[in-house]
Amino acid sequence: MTTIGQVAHLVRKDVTQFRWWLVGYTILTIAVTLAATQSLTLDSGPRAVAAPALWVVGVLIAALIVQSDTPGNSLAFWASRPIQPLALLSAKLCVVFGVLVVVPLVGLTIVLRGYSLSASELVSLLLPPFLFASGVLVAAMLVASLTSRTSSFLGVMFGVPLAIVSLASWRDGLPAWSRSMDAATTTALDLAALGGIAILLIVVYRSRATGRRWLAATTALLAASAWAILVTKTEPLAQTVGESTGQSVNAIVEEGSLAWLDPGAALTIGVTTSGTNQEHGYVFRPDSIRVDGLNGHTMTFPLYGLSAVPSSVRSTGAPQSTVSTSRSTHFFRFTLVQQDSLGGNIRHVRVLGSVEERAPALLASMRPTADTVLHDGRTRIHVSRVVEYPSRLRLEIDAPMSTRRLRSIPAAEGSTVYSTRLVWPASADTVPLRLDHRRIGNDFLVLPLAMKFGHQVTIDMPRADSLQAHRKPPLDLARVQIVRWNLIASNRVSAERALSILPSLP
Amino acid sequence: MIAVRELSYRFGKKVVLDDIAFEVPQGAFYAMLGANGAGKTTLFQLLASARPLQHGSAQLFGTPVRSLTMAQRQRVSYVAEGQELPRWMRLEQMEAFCAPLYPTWDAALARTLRTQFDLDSRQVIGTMSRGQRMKVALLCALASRPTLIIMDEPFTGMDVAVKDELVRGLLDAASAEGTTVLLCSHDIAEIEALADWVGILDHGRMRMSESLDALRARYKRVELVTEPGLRLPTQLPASWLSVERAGLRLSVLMEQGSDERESVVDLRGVTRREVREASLKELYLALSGPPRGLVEVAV
Repeated sequence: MTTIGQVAHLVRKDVTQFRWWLVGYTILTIAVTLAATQSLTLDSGPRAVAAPALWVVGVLIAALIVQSDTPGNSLAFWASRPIQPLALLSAKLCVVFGVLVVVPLVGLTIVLRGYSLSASELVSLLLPPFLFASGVLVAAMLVASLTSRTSSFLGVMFGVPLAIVSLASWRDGLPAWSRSMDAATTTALDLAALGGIAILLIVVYRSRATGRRWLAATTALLAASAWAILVTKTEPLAQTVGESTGQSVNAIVEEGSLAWLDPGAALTIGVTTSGTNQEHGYVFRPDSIRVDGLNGHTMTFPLYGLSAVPSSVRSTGAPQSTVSTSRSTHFFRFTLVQQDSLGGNIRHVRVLGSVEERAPALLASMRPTADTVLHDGRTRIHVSRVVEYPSRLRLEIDAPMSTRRLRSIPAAEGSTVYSTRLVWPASADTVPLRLDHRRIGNDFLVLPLAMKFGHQVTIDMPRADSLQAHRKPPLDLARVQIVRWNLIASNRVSAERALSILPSLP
Repeated sequence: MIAVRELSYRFGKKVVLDDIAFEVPQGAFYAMLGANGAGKTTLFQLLASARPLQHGSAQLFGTPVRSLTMAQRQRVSYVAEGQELPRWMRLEQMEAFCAPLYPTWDAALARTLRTQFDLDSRQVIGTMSRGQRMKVALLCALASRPTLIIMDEPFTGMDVAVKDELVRGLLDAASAEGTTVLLCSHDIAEIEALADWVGILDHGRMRMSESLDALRARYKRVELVTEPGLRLPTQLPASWLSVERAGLRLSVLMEQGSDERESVVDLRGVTRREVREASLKELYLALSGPPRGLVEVAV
């Protein structure tokens, strides 16, 4: 039997042995993915449980698979068979990665394909979660290979990081991590960590390592890693990200909303924002509508944040110069005013937008009752209290934003999206912050490229009407939280409607 | 077939094997004897590649254990008491799993052994008794038609009838196919019928290793009936491995050829003298552990 054949043989054995676990995990993953792609209504409760549950179950399955043939156990059945330790390790890796990594990645790919991402964009998007998942699973396999019982594994794998988190939290509060690193650095570090753990795992299998010394060394390594992540401060007062504030968004052009466009008449196009993929932290943000006329002309109408909005676009309920949709706005209408260039019938409407990913950590978590300035390497955030209006805060954000260009839109379109909210210790009291100008929905602040080097906005603090008076906690206890959404891909088609050609009016 | 030199192994600070050296010729049925904790299991695990070597060398087929090729490892079977089996598998799944690992797997022999051991191929291994699990391990070990079988307490939990059948099967295999068997068991009487080579391991040290014939030729049991009042010398002769006295009966296990010292016994008034072959159990008890001196047995 060749080495490859032996690996395949062992894979078959493990798949047979753990078939119900693997089937259950796959079904759970598919269910979560389908819920993410198909559900139009947002209900973060079950999904918020499902994603961590998938992680815990995945790590547990990896441990069970490894512990069924522990490398250091001289009484293990495989140990005295003509089975190469590295073939055994390869088989375990194949099963663990084949089911616990590839299946969720395929699910993610399906979700993201719905946003029409290109292959290169998909790769760049899927690489970080792949590396992270691989690192966690390989670390779990390493711990499992050095422990013979599930309870010991759980104690080390979850107990040590929990202890470190508790210790770090007690000592300094929990800082955010990796915020000041660019993607390439983070990926390189992830790769290095993954490689290091993988080499250690290979050594354990080759040498049939066992005993307390190895386990103690691995435990120390885990603890040191957790400690390094948790106590490496890039900024003071930062915290890990809380619940998602995004509620987005597959834009759908309202059926039957389009009709003959008379010269000088108004045409209302409805854009429904629906659906989201909160557990994966991805959103689609519609930012323009492209309309093809029968006369061969194409016009693109921006939906937000442009300094030069075509005069043909007139929105309802928003300043003339700014038309926007928000993740929290479930329905939005805007009006097109016919121009000569468009004329006649409309045959095609496409909603274009960007795919964004919630940043892995809060950009800032700051007290609203005192001046606070934070830097995270590329953004400066300043929260100050406006004295004459005790209920008002001034939020300044300086961010060199990446330029975002949409085809067919000549204006500068770069922007970065932040979600802001005010959080009291009891999460039930969390409220989105309203912006007194450039208000985009309830909780999103859009910074157009014109404000590339800084933006200042005054935020109305919640008043009695936003929270019941008897429930309103002191402002001193609150924190302003700001989350940044990172652009993954732009100019994606989210929805497309081909319209039937109407007969021209005489 | 097996050559071990200067082999040492320790668990932490505890030395389990200390400078072990012995050889097992091809086709031999080698019985390794030793008390609990003598180091037999560790030694066997080292030879079966179930545990990495620390110090010294161990060779199978003339190749260091750690450098054995896959083809060579396929010629070795290992059975041990307490060896973990895939408890979730049915016996038929177990056979199907083992078969591709061994090019010499004999499915017909597996079926024969299954019948002989009265095992149900549909039964899940985890639901089997201890004795049945040992039978499964033996089935897998024998059906691969190995050149070398290493067995650590293989008869544990087996009923007498099956044990006899197994012993016969092992003898047949060893004699007909030239299979080498390395075995340890506390059932010395059972081993005596099988073994042609014997090694004694005592507290991690190899006390002796030689063929049973040579051992029996070297030692003999002398049974004496003496006159009342016989007094043995305070310092027993070095060639006397053990002496037992029960009333007027004196039993001495001594090295062959120590006639002079035997005559010492004669001079003190022996009324009857009988020489017989020493049993393996007697040899083991005499050769392992500290010198026993005179043992008085109540009549």
